[in-house]
Amino acid sequence: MIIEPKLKADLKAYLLDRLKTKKVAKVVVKAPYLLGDDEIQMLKQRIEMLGKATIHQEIDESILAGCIIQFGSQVIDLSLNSELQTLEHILYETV
Amino acid sequence: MENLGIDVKLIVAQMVSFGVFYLVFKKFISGPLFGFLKKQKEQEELRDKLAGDLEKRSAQLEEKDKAMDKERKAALTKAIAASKKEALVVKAEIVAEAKKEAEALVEAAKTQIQAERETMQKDMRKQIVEICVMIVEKALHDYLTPQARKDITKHIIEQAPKAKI
Repeated sequence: MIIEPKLKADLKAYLLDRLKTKKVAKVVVKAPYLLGDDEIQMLKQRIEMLGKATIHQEIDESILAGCIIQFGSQVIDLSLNSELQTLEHILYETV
Repeated sequence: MENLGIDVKLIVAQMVSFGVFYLVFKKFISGPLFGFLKKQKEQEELRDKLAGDLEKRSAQLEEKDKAMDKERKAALTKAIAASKKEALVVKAEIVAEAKKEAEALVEAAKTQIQAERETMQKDMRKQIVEICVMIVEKALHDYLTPQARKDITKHIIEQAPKAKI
């Protein structure tokens, strides 16, 4: 595969920079409202990584209740919507 | 004798000439003539015989021809009967095969109908479930107050299992 030299150089520099700087992980928490400190604390107790990461909250009106935690490509879905989807699957399988 | 008009010399001369004629005829003519007549007779007899033979043979051939004709007719009738029989058998086989194929087609169609019915029922179930869940979601969306949402969220977070990530 032939890669353009300038692109190759830029990519190399970026990766080296990423390796050198230890960035703190960014975690996005989506909920129907802004979570309080106690709720954040409870989440941190449940999920280890949240303790070391910076938490960014987002309001998502489509979520009925609960929250969705997203860091990088990983997602932990604690919303009521996913429970309803699970229920849908169960109903479909059993009926 | 002369008064009666009979000429003795003439008679003698006639007798002599007759005798000469007779001798000449006997010596030179009668043999070949009779031979010829005999030959003609023989030929006529032969021709009659041949004609008779031909007629006999012709009659025989005619009889033979009639007999062969009879045989041919009998053989033909037999062959026709055998062919008819065979044709009936083949017909029966074809009908049986066609029935079998028709039954197989009917069975295949029934199986297909059953499969399609099941697919349709599955789709219907899926749609019913989707609609039900959609209705519940909509209802919850409209029914849940902000406080209720907070309470549910708190409850979900409390119940969430610990994850080592």
